[in-house]
Amino acid sequence: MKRKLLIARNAIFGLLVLYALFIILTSIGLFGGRAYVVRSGSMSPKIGVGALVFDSKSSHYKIGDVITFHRAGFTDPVTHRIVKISKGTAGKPVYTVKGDANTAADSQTVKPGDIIGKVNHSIPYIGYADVFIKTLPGLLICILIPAVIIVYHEVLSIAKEVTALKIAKTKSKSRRSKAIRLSKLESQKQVSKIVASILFLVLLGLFVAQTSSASLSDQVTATRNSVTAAPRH
Amino acid sequence: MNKKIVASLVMIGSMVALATGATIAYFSDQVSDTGNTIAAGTLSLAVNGSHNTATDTFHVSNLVPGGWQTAQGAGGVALKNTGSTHGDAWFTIANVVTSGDGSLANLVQPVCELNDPPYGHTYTPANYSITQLSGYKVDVGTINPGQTVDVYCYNLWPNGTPTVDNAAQGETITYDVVFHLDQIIP
Repeated sequence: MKRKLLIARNAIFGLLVLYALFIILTSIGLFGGRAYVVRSGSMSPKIGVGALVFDSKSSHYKIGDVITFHRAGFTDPVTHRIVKISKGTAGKPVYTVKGDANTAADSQTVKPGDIIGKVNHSIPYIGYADVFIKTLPGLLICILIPAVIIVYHEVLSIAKEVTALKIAKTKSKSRRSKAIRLSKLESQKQVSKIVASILFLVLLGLFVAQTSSASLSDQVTATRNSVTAAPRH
Repeated sequence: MNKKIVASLVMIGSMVALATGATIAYFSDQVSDTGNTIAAGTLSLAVNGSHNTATDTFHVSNLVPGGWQTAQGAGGVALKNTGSTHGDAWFTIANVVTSGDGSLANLVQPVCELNDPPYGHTYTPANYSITQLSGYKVDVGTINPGQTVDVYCYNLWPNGTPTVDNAAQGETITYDVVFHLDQIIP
């Protein structure tokens, strides 16, 4: 039973490590992909406000793909869905995109060179954490204070280890076994420390994630307007 | 050296490095001032109270060279942001259909102004014909949630050469005006 628990714990732990690494590496643009925090709601309900999306480059994009792309005049890239593909100059495709929650497609089309990547998956609401982390209180609470605590604990454990080593060098048998017990206790504590540092790494990953907008838009067309010139006399 | 001590030292080193990195990132982000906000909310535009299509909004008949005419009826449109976030409003002309040789569309110049104090602010660029405004983005500016902006429009036909003006007489242009409201993300 104890063994099974141990395996389960290690498995969860392993997954956490992989996940943390994945978030951090995609955030900084490795794997050819990137993570973006979606700041607005035009892709809801599929991608809500504050979701974290993971983009990867693709050789071709099809109708229905949700893509993140650069748009002239905007600092943030935009995340919208491809609704139409037409042929542009030199046979290159031109993409018409639309936010799921918007009534009409975007007036600006997207060229292949502007596309950053295709959204593979998304995690809802994590972006709110990202926005908080990017404030000064967020930086202190989520990153600097945990870092100081971890460093403090490590310094303490070095001190304890040094003491234990000194005791172990003495000849007394009882004292030596006490030293081994102390040492074991330390390695059990190590697990919680590692979990804490993973959490810390995930938060740091969010800190470096960029933002993307899914801008809402609405349009109303006034049809059948006319201008008639006076008839010729 | 003891393995545990080495592990602790490595941990201390990485924490210091990560904390330094995060602090530097924080301060450089403050300088570039990029996206530290999330904009939840809705955005919806109503033109003269309609959320779908507004029909028969601008009509001008019997326009003569050297004259101008207000669109019949209200003479303008009320653009209302019925959502909960700020929007950037603009409009463009689309689907221009002309009878005759189409020269009238090159001559008639729609002029749209703000119909609220301070009066006299014109949205449309000066001397732009219907043809030139087709696909041109005419900026109206920010409309706050719940705010209405009244736009007043008229059509101008400046005197041109008699031959050209004569050719356009009796012609009719029909067109769509597409009003947009795009979310402003701080």
